[in-house]
Amino acid sequence: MSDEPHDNVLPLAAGEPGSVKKDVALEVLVAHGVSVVHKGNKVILSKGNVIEVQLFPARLHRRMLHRLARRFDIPIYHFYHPEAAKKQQP
Amino acid sequence: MPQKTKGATKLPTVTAVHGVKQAKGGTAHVVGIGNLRVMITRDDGSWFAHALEIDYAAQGSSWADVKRRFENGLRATIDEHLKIYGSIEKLLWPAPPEVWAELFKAESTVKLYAQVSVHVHKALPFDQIEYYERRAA
Repeated sequence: MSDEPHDNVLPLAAGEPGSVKKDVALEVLVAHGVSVVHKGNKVILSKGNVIEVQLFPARLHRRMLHRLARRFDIPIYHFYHPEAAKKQQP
Repeated sequence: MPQKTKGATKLPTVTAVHGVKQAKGGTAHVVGIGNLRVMITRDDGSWFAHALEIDYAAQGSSWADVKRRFENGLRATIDEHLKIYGSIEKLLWPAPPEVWAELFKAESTVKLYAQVSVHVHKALPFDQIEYYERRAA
């Protein structure tokens, strides 16, 4: 069994969070009530008044994850520990 | 009266315009954005572009890739706002202060971005709906 809690976390310098797979990030967004609609290579994200379309690459890095966390009011660690996000689903 | 600081750079004013034209087949929106400042940063092997005057960002694998994703994503975001709200008003919010603070860091590059896009939203084909009146027996 791997020491890493999730295979989606890339090893990085100490104290620096890594990147996560796009699908994992989208699951976390859904768990926090964000509507995720796939339209070709685009993803439409919406929650409340926030609507945006993204062309995400395969992995999302630190800056994008922090931005999504802020935009959709999600604790940043949920992207690195998606089971924590799923637990809080209604 | 504001004083001029020696060496200070005068930043251009961002412009966002939205025009609507009702046509027979639907609604045509023309959206123009000028002098939008976009901060581009290396982020652990990827590239990250964040607009300052509009809180929109994109991630890509190279300079060209992040530009392409930013431009296509912003255009599609404008389109969604027009479809849902009929305006881009809710999109015109600046990035948070921490993003602006990074403007002065050396590792970021700021580029000016401008686009004009036309979004045509076709009206539903109401002439193809058949209505039936249910009459009492």
